Amino acid sequence: MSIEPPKTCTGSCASCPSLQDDLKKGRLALRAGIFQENPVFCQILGVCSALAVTSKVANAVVMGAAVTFTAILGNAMIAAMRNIIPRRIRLMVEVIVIAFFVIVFDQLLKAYWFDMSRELGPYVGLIITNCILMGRAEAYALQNRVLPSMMDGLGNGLGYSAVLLIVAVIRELSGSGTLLAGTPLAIILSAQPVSSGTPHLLRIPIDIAPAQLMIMAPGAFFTIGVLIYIFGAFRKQEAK
Amino acid sequence: MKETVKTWLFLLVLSLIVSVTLTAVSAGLKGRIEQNLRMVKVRSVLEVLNVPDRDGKTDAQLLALYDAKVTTPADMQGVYVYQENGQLEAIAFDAVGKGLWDTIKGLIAVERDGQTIRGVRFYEQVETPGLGGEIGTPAFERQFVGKKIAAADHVLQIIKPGVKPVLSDTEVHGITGATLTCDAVNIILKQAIERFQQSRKGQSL
Amino acid sequence: MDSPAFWVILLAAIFTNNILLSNFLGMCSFLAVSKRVETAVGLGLAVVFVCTCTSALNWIIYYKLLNPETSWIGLDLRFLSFILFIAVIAAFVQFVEMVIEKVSQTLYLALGIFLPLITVNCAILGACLLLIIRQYDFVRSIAYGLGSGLGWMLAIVVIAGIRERLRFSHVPAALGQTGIVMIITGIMAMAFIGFAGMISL
Repeated sequence: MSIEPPKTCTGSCASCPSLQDDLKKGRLALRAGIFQENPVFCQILGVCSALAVTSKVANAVVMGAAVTFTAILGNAMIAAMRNIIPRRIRLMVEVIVIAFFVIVFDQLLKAYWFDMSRELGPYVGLIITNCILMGRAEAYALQNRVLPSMMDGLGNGLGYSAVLLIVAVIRELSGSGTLLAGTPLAIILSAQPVSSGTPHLLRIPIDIAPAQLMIMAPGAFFTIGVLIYIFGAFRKQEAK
Repeated sequence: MKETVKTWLFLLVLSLIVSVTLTAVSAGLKGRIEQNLRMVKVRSVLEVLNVPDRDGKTDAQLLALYDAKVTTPADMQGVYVYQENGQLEAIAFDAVGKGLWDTIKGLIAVERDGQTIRGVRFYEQVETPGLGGEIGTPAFERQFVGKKIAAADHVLQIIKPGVKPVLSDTEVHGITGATLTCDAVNIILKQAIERFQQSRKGQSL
Repeated sequence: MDSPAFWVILLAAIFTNNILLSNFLGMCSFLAVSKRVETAVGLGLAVVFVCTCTSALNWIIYYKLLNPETSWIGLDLRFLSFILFIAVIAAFVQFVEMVIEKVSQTLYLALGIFLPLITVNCAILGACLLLIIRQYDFVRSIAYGLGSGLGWMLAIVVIAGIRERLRFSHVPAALGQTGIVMIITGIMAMAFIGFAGMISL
């Protein structure tokens, strides 16, 4: 198997991409991943889990972490191998690499935060099918070096996590009147004192009538739909 | 031909590296994961039996507490006998069944007399949050304490709120708007209690 | 605890526990392909076929190879489930792609890139994972795979029909394609919740 030299190579040392170049490229990819090319709002990728796990903020945060973890490491591994992956099986290789990191994360979660693993259920395994990861591997990691690919992964992962966070905050607050319920940092909106044994950080004595629909399926769809509308409207304003 | 060989070789090497690493990771974490799985049940059983000195203990300590105080008789699966110094304190048994959306897993604990309820825990359910999901809340579970699991001709039941102002020993209030979940729970309670009573016939616990 | 009957699982998977409207699985291809009813039906049928068959295949793999208690190999290999399941799905989709290409060129061209994308349709992998979690036996797993596929197809065909009609409505530009589909799907999900309890799974 021959390793091909990078396409920029002109034979002299100056043409090899330096760390500086990598970081610069990477930073661009990072920012793009969060804003201009936000995976959920712009590329419409990874919507399944954005809907499924956002009924609680804690779940959304862990899911975001899982996707970011896999995006960074998966992109890194694919970028490192990009010159030796046979073209015909590249999709299968991408899937294998992504599945590998997802399984590692899943095992770690089961071992160190079992309750969260039960909450997320099959959705951790389903990260493998999360279009963001395959999409970025195909569109970026296959053509770029390791460091910029990792930062692209980080950017898209953060962009995705940000969306999940926003949706989850909206859904949990309006649907259950809590934030980060289930963790020691929980904030609970309730006029009655909270039962002992429920870990929480802060109780705000306001009673809101929770809108159950928000924590169920339709609530998720509506929230994302409205957010897309708002996001889209902002982008149109910017473009003017 | 060479292309095909290279392709297969690449795939083989990649799969090998991936499987070996995953096997190593899995083997390393296996013990912890299995313990976590066991701890869910252990914690729930200790809670429903109200075994003292549970607070602030680590998993290992809880496991030791469980092993010391709780036993499952050999021929009675799903029954947990709590003894303090050889003296029978309470018995808990599984209450598992179909809920509205998916399986509901719970435990019912009775006092020494085998009749009075010590506690009820629904530790796993995915019912409608805010409605059926309330069966997992302390407020709902607290109702059961002190009730009896069965009267002469019927077992413990959930009654729709507003139907009966005064509840008997074997009745608790349901949840408004969660009729279907409560119906499902009624079936679960009936099956669990009847199975428990069956298994106790001819057994001196 | 009795396992529900074949028909109960089938109908529940289509209506009350619709894999797309209740479990949110299979959204990506759903959003992309649901613009025309013909393509939606074509893709839907392909998904039904793949989902049913891979549910069966993956059940066999899980219980005969990976699960230490029931397998021919004594080892606990369950951590390999994700990778093996997706590999089976990928291989099967490849097979379906070849068949469609031979049988109907028009459908093949219409589906285009979306055919290989069935591989990453979370609904299929999701159905396989869920039937393992719920510990269905072989026949019931097929019921669940079939029902999930049909439920997904139902959702995508209905949305395609609605979207075809939407062309004549005035949708705010910022909502774009996806925003309005999300809102419609939300309303559909609400409607399907109405089925809850009709079939108790």
